[in-house]
Amino acid sequence: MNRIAFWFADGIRLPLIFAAGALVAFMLPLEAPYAIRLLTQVAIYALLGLGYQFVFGLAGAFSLAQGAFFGVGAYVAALAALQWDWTGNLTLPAAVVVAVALATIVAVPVLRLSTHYFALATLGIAQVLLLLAIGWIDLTGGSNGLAGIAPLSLLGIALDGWGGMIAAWLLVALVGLALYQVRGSLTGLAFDVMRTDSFAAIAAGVPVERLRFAAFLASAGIAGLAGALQVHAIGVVSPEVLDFDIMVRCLVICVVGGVARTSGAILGAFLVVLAPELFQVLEGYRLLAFGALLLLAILFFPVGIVGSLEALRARWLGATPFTQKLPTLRAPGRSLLATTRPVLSLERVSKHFGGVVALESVTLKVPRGEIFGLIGPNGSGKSTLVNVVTGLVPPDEGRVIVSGEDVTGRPASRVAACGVARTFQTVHLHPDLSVLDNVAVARIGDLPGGLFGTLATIGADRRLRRARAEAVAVLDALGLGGDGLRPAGSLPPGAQRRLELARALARNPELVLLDEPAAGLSEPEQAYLAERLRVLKTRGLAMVIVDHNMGFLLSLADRIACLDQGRLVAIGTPDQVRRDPAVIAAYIGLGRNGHAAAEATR
Amino acid sequence: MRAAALLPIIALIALPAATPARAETSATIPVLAPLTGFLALEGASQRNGALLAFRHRPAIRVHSETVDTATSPEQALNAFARVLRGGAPTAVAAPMLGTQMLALLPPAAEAGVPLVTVSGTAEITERGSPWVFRFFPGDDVVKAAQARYVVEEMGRRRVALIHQTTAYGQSGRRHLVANFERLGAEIVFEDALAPTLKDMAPVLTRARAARPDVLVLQLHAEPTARLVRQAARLRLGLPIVAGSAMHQPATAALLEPAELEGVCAESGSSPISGGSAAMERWVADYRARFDTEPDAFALAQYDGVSMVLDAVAAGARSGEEVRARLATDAYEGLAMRYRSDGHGNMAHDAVILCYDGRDRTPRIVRRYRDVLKNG
Repeated sequence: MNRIAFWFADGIRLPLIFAAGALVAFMLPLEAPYAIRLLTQVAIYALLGLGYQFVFGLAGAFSLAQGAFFGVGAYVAALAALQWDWTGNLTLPAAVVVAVALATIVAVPVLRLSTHYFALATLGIAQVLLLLAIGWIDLTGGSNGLAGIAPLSLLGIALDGWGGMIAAWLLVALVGLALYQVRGSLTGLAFDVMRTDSFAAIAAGVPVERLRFAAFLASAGIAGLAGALQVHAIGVVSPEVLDFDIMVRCLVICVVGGVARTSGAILGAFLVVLAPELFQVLEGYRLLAFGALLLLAILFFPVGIVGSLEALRARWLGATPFTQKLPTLRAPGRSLLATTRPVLSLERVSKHFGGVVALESVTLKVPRGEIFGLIGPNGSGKSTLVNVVTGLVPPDEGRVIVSGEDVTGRPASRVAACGVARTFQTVHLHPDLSVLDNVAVARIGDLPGGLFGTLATIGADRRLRRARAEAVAVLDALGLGGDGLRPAGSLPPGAQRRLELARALARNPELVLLDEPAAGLSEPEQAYLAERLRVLKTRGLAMVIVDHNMGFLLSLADRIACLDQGRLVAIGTPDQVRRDPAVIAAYIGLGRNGHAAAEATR
Repeated sequence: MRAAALLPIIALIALPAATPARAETSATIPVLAPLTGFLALEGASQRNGALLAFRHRPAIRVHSETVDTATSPEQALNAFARVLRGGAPTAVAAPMLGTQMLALLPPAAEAGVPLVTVSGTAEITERGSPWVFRFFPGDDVVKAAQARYVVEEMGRRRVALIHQTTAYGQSGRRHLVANFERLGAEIVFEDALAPTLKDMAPVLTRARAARPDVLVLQLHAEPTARLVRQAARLRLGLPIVAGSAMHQPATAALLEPAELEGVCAESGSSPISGGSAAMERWVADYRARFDTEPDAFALAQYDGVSMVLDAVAAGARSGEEVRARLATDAYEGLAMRYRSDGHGNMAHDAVILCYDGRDRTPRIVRRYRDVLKNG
């Protein structure tokens, strides 16, 4: 009985779709032409919303250009139908292709931006397209638009009324399944991490830029398809299709329905199309009523209708048990052959933040199998150095070479692809994901496929299964094997640090940079961590460890470098560095009490 | 006045004394109007005009439903599908937005439903549909009158033309440019404004720099009011001849009477300007029923629906029968005489009205009859 309840609740998306189907069945016999029109509109907006789920729901990018791509698709289909008598066989693909092509062009400058800058840039694109539609009268008909576009026809079959509605819903089903497939895949896991914590995604080696780009294109293409369907459904196109109102509807669909959910987009579309129709009896006040309904929906379902239902399910039935049996798979290791070539070389690296010198002409080398400690007082440039090496911050001068490859100025995801992994001073994990999945996501670099590869897969994602199996092995190695199914946020601080290390190791790196790995750990935890790090060293892994805990670092590191005000003031064995006057001066101050300082550093 | 013209007037005069008679005939005439969005004001006028026409024909039992079409073609189609639920209506009072009308032409033809509209923009009567009837003079009519008044009556030949970026603005602009060219006037300045633009000072300053002798506007109601106010404050000293938005009492209400001095506008009619006892009675009835001032759109919709009801009273029952009568009959309405030109254009007259700065009621200064024929 319980299993049946779990089965039903776990598949909550499907019952919601069935509920929508029931609504359709209820409406159609009663008021066929009207219901067909409304349900066709619902399908078109569901498609638009499903497309937006890729860029907004999955990638977490607040694009305000989705309405514009919808409009582009509508205009392309209208022009092709009117100028060349194209039917849906060609207008639909043309709308998708042009929307994707446009997205590709604008993605280059726009996807470099983040947060509100990205939103504003995409809004700008939408405004430019709107002005073009209004002003380019010879092509677009200006504000009057273009009329006389034939209803949808595919493969020689006219799809007006019922046919058009069924065709639209088939496309919704297709795109909805694609979204469902992506969400349940390793790529979906990567999107989830990327949306929640971009630093965690970078640390996991998620190709953030590539995934954002793919999501942006997918969204644009699906919006273009929806726009083409719209123009065949209503027979005219005018600048209203590029209006911000479409974008607002799209946002409402996804936010109120449920972000990143297939059923969320479908439910949201039902809401934005049907609710204003139900309120027609209120005439001029109907939009007021609709606004009030949306407000209530947002107040009572802050994570969307589907998200709230899922939360209720979790509260009543508990978390869905993880029933998948995973073999412990050891990831095929990167070949860490003995070599004299250093894994990391910094050549005269400098970084300034305004007038503040963070790094000044730093040169150092870290060979394979070495634990390299990095010390220095607060603000000496240690974290900046780690950020420069991992690509989070580009250097102003100098070169960063990883295993012989110059990675200077490359974005973090591309540096990561060269075998560089890291942990953070402040832990960056996805707290709601399981411990297992926080590590599994880091296998994405070695299990290629990407968004479009995932779409080509049908059924359970084998990459995800393999990534999880390999993650089990890494967790076991760090003593976290028993916690795999717990949410990462529920782990104690020390275990979270180990989990970050596990994620870094899951990437099978050549070089790991650990920023304050012992901070907050108890003595036994520190000892355990040191022991694990020594094991890794014996396998040839190079490690750069930044830590203030001298006892931990001096006993662990092969060599240590000391930074002071961005300059490398000492480098050598722990003993040499401990006695170095420059180090003592950096920590305590020169000439005041050198003896006492030396004692203090012991 | 022709005998036929007296019929609606007699009916109107007799109205207060009329007792609710048992309905002998019935008709289904839904009202599709933009009650929300930037055309809400005009949409409400349209609805009120239709409802008043129903009220003034108690002998006909009218089944009606008012449906908001907002401002998108998609919602107009939804509204049309909604009113088809109970079968094809006798006729539909269709929305006044041109792009919505263009979308409605194919389904109306398919369902066999005549569309009675007050839309003046877009080429809705040029697409060969026998099912559309336009009861507000199209831009080809009112813009010709506007340009002729500027050139022939005011003697102005250096025109500063400011229009909206919307369908209304672009359609009007096209006709104005053609008419001014035909009349030998020069457009020395031209600019298109988004309806959301608030500050009109920059465009007026640039217009003044071109040294025009008249300001011709093709703007929606609120932008018209903003521009007229700004022009008064800048003391441009230029006469303004605006589009039909300026004839609306709601637009004039946004301005002080002094700001309106010397401002003229084109329109199909101006009910509050009076002109006949029947018109004054109609205006009074409209005010009493809706607690607002009527405009030309309300009157045109009233006349259009009244003509449909006339057809029903004369025995037309189906959409096809009503269509046939609308296509061939003439109708003496309150605003003007309506007759189809063969394409569904029913209104062929235009008026120019001006404000004298003493109040917000414009005076009709020139009436152009059958503009295109007498052009």
